[in-house]
Amino acid sequence: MGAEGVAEPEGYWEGDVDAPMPSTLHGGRVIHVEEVEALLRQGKAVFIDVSNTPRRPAELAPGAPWLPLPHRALPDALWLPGVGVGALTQEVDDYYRGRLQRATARNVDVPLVVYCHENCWLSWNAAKRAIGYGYRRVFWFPDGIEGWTHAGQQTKVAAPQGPAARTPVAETPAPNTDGTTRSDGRLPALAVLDLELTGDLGGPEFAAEHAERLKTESTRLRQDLEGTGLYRILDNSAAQGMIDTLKSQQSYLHDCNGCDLDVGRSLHADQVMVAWVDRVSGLILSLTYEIHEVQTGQITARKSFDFRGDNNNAWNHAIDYMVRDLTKK
Amino acid sequence: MGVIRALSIPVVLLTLSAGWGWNSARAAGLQNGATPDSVGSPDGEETERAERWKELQHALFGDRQIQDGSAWLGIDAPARALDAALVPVSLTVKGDRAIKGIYLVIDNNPGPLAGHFIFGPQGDPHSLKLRVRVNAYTYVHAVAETRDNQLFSAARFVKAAGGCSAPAGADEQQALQDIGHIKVRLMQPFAAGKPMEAQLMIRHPNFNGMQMNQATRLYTPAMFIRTIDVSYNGAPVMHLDSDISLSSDPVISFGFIPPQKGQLKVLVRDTKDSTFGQSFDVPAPAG
Repeated sequence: MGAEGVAEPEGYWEGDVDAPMPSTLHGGRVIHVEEVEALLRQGKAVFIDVSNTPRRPAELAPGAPWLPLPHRALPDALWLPGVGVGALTQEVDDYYRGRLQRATARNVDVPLVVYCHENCWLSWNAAKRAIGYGYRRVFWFPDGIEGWTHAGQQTKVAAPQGPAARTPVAETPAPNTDGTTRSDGRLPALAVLDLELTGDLGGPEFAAEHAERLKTESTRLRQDLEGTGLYRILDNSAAQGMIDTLKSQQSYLHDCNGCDLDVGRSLHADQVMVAWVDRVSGLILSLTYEIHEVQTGQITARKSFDFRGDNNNAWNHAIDYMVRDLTKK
Repeated sequence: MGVIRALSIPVVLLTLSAGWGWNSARAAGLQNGATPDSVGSPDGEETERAERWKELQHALFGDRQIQDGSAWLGIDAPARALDAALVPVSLTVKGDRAIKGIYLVIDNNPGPLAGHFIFGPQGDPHSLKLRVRVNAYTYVHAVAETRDNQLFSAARFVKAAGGCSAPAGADEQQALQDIGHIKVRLMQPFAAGKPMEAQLMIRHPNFNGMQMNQATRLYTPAMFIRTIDVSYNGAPVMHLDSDISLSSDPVISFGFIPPQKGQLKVLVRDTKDSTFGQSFDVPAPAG
């Protein structure tokens, strides 16, 4: 929390992240738990967590366990590590701007709540940056996740998104306008992109195993979806060239500022599904999917599932479970 | 280290994304009884913490059973630490059980295994002290392994957060000065065959790779102590496999039993494969 008398810096703060902070943010509003809760209840605000991610030091002995705790965030938060540092690279800046546009559907009046930890300048910077992008209702929550949890509030496990995390992912039930039937009654045409793997990939010895698993599980996902009778699953091969090009340019197609929509358009899809597995460790993983409306770019569904064990069996179960869950709407 | 085979767990447990929304009925009973009264942590969190520990047990010890050792195995740390990068922990063993080694586990650190002490014939496992980094409110577990291969645990709750990413100190250059400088203080007068406590001080930044240099905005590359070996007149006293949770400029107190006058030798190896060694006379030379 801001110590009395700390003035707002002119630009972004580039000093110690945990140095004393101001109690104000020019152009934005400072809020505390009750107001955050109210905004959460209203369901209109976008919550942005800008905490850092823990990174496995390369020097750690190969057998040494690396089991970072699952990251806890506000129930609807997007976790965008790296967007709160003093000086952003162009890539991260573009990403942050684009991610906010997607989350707000380009409406600068959507309230944004930015936070990280108590005493964490990253959130001040990121909130200021959002004001600079033109958002008119930016709320800075300086008490952070600690303030939130100490007040006995609910949290959810989140996975990091964006280039600074190297590991995109959101976990957040988004506004759930279920688009599974068209007004004309025909099944929506769904393009299902290959599963992607983010997070701790576990070193080069796992590369082949993972590549194989992504392939078989992507097939399984398409078959499962086909089996629900809710979608017409498109064959992606007509867009293979485009997909390959995009893959060479983007780390992840599920998080490339809407490049998946181009694929969808070229396949004449109504919707695109992107799904990815975030591997926190060999034990802790989560599977997330999003369905994007090709025409509007809106996310019509998004959900994450935790699962345990980086092996075929566990992945199979996770995929099957996800598809079953998707049919229960 | 290499002794720990982590993660080969074919668990197929699937929950909705309510995070660690585990089956709380299953988790309600702390299976080892090794967890002391909770210090200010609500019940839901308590369940989560119990699950975390179960998870770690599995990752670190596989299917081996861990019994409650709290009657004779002590672990002490301040309930609320002043500096999360320097949390003092002391481990004590009461009685005459033959102890092979002690694991120190900081449950909620990303690299939870902070250290594994292995005692040699000249070692005395009754008391160990060290300082560690604590990243989030956490239980800290001591797991003692007896010479007949049984495991016992005891735990303590510590409120501290941010120790892993806390800047290593004033500045990097300064932190690297005198690296490998080793001092030993003997805490009792020498008497042949009587246990003695020694305090070992090692100058080493023990960079864990999670600390950001605020000037350059870059992470300081990890460089930390992997092993410490202490011997007395050539016979092993203690071996420590350490990890990124050990504080910078480690201070470790340990016991040993010198059968006669001699030399205590300390050998430290870090991740750059630099080794630092020094010998100390026991008893310490007068003056």
